[in-house]
Amino acid sequence: MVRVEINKKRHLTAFVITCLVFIIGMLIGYSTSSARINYLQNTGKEQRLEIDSLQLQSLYVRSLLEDENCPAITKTLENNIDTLEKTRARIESFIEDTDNKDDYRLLKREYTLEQLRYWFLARETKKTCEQDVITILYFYSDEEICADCRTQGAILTNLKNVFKNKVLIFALDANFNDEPMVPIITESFNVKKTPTTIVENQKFEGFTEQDILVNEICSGLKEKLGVCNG
Amino acid sequence: MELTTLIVWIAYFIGLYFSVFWLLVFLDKGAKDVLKKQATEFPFVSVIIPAYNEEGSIAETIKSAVNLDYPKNKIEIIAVNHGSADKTGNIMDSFRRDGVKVLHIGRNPGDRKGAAVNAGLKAARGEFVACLDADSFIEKDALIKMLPYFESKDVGAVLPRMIATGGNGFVKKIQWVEYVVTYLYKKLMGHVDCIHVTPGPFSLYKRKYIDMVGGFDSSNLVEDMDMALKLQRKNLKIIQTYDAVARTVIPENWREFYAQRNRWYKGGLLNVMKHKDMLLNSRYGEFGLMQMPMMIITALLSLVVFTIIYYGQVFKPLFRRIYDWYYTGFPIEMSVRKFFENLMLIDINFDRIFFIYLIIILGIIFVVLAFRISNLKLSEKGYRAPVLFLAFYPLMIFAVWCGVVKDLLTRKKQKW
Repeated sequence: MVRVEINKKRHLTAFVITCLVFIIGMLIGYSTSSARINYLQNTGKEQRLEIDSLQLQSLYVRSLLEDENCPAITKTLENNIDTLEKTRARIESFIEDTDNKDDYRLLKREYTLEQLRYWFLARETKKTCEQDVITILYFYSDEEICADCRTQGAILTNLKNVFKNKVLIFALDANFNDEPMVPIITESFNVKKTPTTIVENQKFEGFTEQDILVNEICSGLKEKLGVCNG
Repeated sequence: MELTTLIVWIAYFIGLYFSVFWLLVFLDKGAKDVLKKQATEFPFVSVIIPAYNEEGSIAETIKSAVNLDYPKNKIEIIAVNHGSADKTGNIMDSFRRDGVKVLHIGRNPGDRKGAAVNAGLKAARGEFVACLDADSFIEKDALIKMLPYFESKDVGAVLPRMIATGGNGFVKKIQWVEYVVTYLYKKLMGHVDCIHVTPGPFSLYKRKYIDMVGGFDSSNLVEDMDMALKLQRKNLKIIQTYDAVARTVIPENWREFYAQRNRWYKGGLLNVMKHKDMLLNSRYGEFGLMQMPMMIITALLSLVVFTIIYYGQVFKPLFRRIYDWYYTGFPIEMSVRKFFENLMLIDINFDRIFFIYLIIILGIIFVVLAFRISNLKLSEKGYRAPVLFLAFYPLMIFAVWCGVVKDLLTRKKQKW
């Protein structure tokens, strides 16, 4: 008994259709990643302009001692730091998603610099404008080295959601040596391991529970918030 | 590229290829019967009903065979009591007045259903032989609808359409949908001679071909798959029909379902090993080149892909989220709100989502097609049934495969 011959044309058609669908999928993937990089580049440019403007405003306030402009400056500053932090989180999650991690290295460096600039500015502005705000510097690293960093990050994100504009958080990848400023900062704060959380001048090494950080923030704030009493 | 990513891509490709392939077969050949005639000649037919502890359903099974629309002098029903400990034997004996032949045989260690069917075969005189599992019921007109397909000399077996019966539980609903979809799949497989199992519920065989392949394997976990492979080996045709219908009782709960599927899939793998010379052998056409490898690949695919996708995309993120919530005092409402406030289009990883949605859409297409063909109402078991099927069936199959692999690795003895 003999079998029917294999319908090669059908297999070929199936193969071609499958390949086409795959190409569509890859094109979608490609346009996603270029949209991501585009977005990050544009936001980066905006942030650069913003900081130039803010630096000038801050200089103006300091030199003319016109601190009635303070509220406006601090408001803009807070907004920008928020955007910056969100974008930083995006870059990290995009890096996790992609196979071409190199595409993001330069962008990450750019944003790291931007964060450091804002951090400096925030410290100055706090002094000039006598802002009731807590600055947190948070050093993290890759999940492979630092298993607790993700959870520590989640705690800080939650604190930001709770304290809103009363805390300013700057997260830095402690092992990001592409940017020479990073080792300088880690050394000057004597950061030996990750996660390390610096709340104003108080350093917390290793995983730090939410309650401890809440207490620290509360003790530094002049205005006593509801969270601090509970 | 990471290894897991590569595996997922390959799996997507294979999955997509076969979905497209079967859709093309469907567009080409359809899924309903072309041959619309009933038997006009009546060759002698033997119906063998093997049973082991089936007192609950055996009476109805035998009744359905007795009531078959066929000249009484041209049909014999042979009920084989395979050493049952319950009342199966007594119930069988009570059908002697309807002309049913009853065989009581002992159960040797290592015996499975195949042994009982073989005993029935020894007593059977029919030119055609049908096996009817004791938990299945055949519709009156099935036999006269199936016989005309043997017109072509190289037809080894003709199969009825199986419909799952009874029950409305979660596991039953899912299986009910599964059987509807399986029919479509098997019909399409039949078009390219790729059917790999001739199921217990009323597969009709030409006797001389059963003898040619040496009868059933008496110790095989899934003797009906072994039989199909043996027929394929002789390049005989197996035809799936639409108009002939058999109903079968399906496992009631997850435990029974797991036990049944564990046996099917494990037996399936063992049978592929038993007939491994057919693997990738072009002498057996698409069956050797496509269907045999697929039986192994589906096992691997469902294991690897679901491990990667479910673990990587579902369980891991979920577990992490809960872990992080634990340390932040479960700010669920706030984090959900913030998530949607901050969500941007670019945050969605489209190339991953594209394929996941593609698979879901293809799944929906198959389910809808299968229901349109089946004449069964999608709403019969409530609209939730197909949704449950799409959501949980892959997970259930994955769990079964995990069990099979574990059993094979630990060489666990088969108990049922």
